[in-house]
Amino acid sequence: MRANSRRLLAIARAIVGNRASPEDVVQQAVMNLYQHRERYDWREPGGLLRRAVVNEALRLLRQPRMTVVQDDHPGRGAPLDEPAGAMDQRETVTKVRAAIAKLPEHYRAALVLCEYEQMPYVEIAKTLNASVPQVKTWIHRARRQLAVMLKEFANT
Amino acid sequence: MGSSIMPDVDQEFDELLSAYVDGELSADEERRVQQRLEAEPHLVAAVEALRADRRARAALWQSCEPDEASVQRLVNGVDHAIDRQTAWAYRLSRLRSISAAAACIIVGVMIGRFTFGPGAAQPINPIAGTPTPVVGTPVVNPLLQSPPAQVRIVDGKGKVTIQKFRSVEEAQHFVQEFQQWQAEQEQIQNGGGAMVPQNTERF
Repeated sequence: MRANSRRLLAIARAIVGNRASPEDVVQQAVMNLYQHRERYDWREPGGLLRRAVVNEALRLLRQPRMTVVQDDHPGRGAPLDEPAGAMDQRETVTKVRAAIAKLPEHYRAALVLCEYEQMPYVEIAKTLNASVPQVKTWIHRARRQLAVMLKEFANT
Repeated sequence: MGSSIMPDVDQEFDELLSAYVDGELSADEERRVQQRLEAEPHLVAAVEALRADRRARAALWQSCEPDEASVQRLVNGVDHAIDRQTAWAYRLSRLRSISAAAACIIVGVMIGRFTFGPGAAQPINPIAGTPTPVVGTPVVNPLLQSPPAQVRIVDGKGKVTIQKFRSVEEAQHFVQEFQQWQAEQEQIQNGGGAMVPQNTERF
């Protein structure tokens, strides 16, 4: 659990954005697994935990919007002596984050698993209970939609 | 940040390019993409735009990585939740054992009450309840559907015999005959003998 927690928290944050605390998402996912631990094959706990976190994050996103968690992640504040390049990057990250938050949740999950976890499409399909062509389409559409949204950002 | 919007690239090929950037194409598909990239230089720009977008998002994914305090909070939270759940599971299992034992005792008491206890043996006829020898008190056990009637016969020494019948009428008929026989016996012996109930009841 400890070995995977950093990665799991990042996945949770990337998928849920500011809709919920990533710690809550991961903890709930771990407890879901723990409650029915005898049902699972624990030979590859990393994959099992990742799948549980993705499912929990998607479940949460499908619920009606209840709370917005304050974006208090360290490193996101703007230090006074921040160089211009870093400021630009932070701005870009903020824009990309806002755009990703507007994507349908399964597009978002597929993109996170593909680009952050560097998972092959076959594994993403297993994790999301989908087919490989579906995953391919989701990732493609996610990229297209993001490109459109970021172009709009750039024009405003 | 680049833009991968390609209005002049057909939808299917656009999807292929996206998978190409991820290295997810089959050998055939990759060959097809390579051929078109060579033939149509503007597609190279589209691929570069896709890669640039991906690099831009890499910064976002990196920013999602938690700090050590967050990891520690998660580990502590999970440990605490597991401890709490284990404690509750133990309490619940104890509660289940106690409930099962209590249920067994209640069922035992009920069975005893209806079969051997005072409720089962209690005659509705007050005469049958007296310590004096009683003959012919039809008693219907409510738990038993068949036979629906039974006659409790107590001899002079207090020994109880239960005679079962298929109906109350049969039981009443038996009691009448028995009383008649008893009266005859009493006459023969010039008095004495058992008290005889005058009526029969069902319950």
